[in-house]
Amino acid sequence: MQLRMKGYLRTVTIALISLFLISVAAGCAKTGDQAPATKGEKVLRLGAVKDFKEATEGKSLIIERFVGVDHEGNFVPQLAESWDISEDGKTYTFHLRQGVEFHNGTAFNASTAKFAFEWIAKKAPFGSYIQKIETPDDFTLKVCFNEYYAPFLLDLASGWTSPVVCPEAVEPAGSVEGKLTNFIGTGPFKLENYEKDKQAVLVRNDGYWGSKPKADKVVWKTIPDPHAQIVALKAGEVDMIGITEHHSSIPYVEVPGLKKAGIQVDTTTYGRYQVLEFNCHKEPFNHQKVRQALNLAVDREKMVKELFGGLAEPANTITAPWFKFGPSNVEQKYGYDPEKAKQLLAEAGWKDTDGDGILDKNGQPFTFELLIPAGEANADAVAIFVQSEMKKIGVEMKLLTLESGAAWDRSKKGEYEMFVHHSFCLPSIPGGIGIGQKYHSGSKSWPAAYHAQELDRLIKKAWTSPDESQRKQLCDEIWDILHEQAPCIPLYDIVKVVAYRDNVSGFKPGPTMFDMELQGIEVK
Amino acid sequence: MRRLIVRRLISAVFVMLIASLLSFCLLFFAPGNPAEIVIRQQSGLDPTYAEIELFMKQHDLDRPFLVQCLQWSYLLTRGNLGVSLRTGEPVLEEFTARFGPTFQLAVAAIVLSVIIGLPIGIMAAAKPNSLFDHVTRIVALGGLSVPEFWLGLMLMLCFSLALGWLPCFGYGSVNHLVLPVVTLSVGITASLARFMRASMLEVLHLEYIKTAKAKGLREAVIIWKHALKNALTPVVTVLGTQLGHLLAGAVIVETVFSWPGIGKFFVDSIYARDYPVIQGFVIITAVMYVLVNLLVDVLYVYLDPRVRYEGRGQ
Repeated sequence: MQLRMKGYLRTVTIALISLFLISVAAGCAKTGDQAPATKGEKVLRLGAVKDFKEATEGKSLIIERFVGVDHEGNFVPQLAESWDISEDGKTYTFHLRQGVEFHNGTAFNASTAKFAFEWIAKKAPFGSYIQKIETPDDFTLKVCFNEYYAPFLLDLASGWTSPVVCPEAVEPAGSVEGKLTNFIGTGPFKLENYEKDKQAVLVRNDGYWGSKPKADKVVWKTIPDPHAQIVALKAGEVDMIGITEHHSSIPYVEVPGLKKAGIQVDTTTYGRYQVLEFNCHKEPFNHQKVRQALNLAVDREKMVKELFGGLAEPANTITAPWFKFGPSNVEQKYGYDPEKAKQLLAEAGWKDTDGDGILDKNGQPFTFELLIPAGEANADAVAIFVQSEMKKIGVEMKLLTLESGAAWDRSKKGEYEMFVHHSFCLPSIPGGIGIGQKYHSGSKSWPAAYHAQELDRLIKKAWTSPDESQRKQLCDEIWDILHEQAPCIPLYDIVKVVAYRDNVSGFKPGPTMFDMELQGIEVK
Repeated sequence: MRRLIVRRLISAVFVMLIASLLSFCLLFFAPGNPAEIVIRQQSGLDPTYAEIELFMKQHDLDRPFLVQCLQWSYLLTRGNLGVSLRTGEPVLEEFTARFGPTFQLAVAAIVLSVIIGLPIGIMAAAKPNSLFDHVTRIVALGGLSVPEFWLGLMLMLCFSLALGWLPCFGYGSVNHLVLPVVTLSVGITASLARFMRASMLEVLHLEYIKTAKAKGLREAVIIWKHALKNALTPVVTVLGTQLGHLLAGAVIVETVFSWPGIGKFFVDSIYARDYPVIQGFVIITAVMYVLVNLLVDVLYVYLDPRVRYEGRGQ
């Protein structure tokens, strides 16, 4: 009996230890070396939140587009060297760049471009407007539309909507309905190796048509936790963080610590504002003066100083004024004037009659709820700051944080009083003034945003005619109306923070928040 | 014994079907639209209504609830778990690509916890209320209470940043395994030690131990040979649950240490309402739970000869 028990204990112990060793060994066997670097090779190691193939940002290093867009929203050539637009705006003739090859050697010409375009059009918003696609010669692509579609070039400039892929990149090869399986493009880097959720190794494309990258390799390392990224950067396991996300993945509060540790920190504005959206269709925010008052009640200067150490700029207009069709004309910018706020609220009928410090009207106290999608950057801190600012003018703000899918679902149904989110910018029409966008009554995603017939008319006029000078004028009118109506409280500019070690030089921010320009970066 | 295994395997089929249908129902009726979330995540832009509709149409998300259910069940009978809405890859591939790291982490953490936790619990029970007992109790309490994300970051700051001994993220070598396994093991070790102590104390009060003492056996022999086997039964149950839990992925540790396992992917899929992935993963996880429980039941037989699963009278 004793002997048997002894044997049993021994078996279990041996089994456990061998299981442990096997599991450890299994790990070692898989990848011996993390970043295979030959001597003297210049490797830039990026710490990224997302897996390489899941992130649009990474794709743009490998796969290019027909046109790009600059910081303000002007179109710049990429694989199309130039383009002509017909008088009625319905025909686009793209003159393609010559002498370009995909990474697998396939030539980029009218026929491969036509394939890429058709592949894009299957899923792109402009797809249903296209009448026909022609290739008059080897380097010309002609696209004819049924009707004028204003955001066409913007859609085309989006790396998510419109990557120019090679016919062999999709599965089944050459099918316009195929699935993108191989990352084969024309970009400055080629994908050499990819391991799910671990890393991707990109090598320089020596045949690149534009300025060639200075680094030999870029290693995209997936590190989902931002704090772990910071440790990895400080420990020298990655060279650069924050560049691979369009949003700012480095928490603003960490920036002073990074600088103290000798890390270089760059911030770039992309005109993406954090805003508090009013439900303009319900009491109390269906009243213009109330919206204006609340806009004047938030001290944005103090907010960015206290919460972010002055890292972000306060926002005084609905979207950045320097966008091509942005509110540069607007004079009535939102400042800080609590006295005027109180006065406007009084004019709207809100007075503190029962002396409890909260304004009331018809016996109802001025209380509302701010809906916060969980994970919205800085939203918790900002909400508490705004809450205290509201209290100063006698308005009670309650906070409700919901899981982000659930919160967005409510916003889409208009079931909120105030909703915090960030404005979307390039390459879509900045500020939500396109047809079917936030401030157009046809918007199905924003049924509770500010809508008006006059606004609809101007929006429709601005985006149904190809005349750009007329569009600028109309947009100015739209911005005037919107700023007068105060449909939201713009708070601050969500700057993108990029941090890198001192062995990295030559960093230049990309033109939009989705684009990385790594060509100029040198690694020591 | 064979009957037990067969019965369990048959019930496993129902467990997985019910679990996955239930999760689909819950998600389907929960707020949030996969199309919108996936587009927003991937493009970083506000999806237009047309884009959402197109995405839903392309992925059959606009079909009624029952149709989607049947569609999925039909695919399942063909061994197909569908395609992820988020990544466009087959669910099974997404799982197998990530299960290796998760398995490695889970087994290593459980084994380490057993090696450390059980002896501590046994020794604490052997001399209840001794200094060793008190110290281990306090340490275990700490180990149980410390949040994993904090512990992980602290270990990282210590061993990666300050000392530079271990890498702070990634997967591959033994060095990469150390910090995540230690982080995971702390809590498990603590709870195992406490369970072992309680169970051992209970057994030590039984009559047969008194008999053994009266026979004049040495204490070590009584504890390690006579008491341990009986005391292990409840501990094995706890171990089984822990292992099942770990095999479903250790979300926090995987996120903090960039460990490419299934836990983080699963949670991201839940946020994105990626129905096929959620259903597929639930099915596979249910199977693993059933298997681990079966293993526990089989172990009972070896630990306690009185346990018999055969019909009465045999």
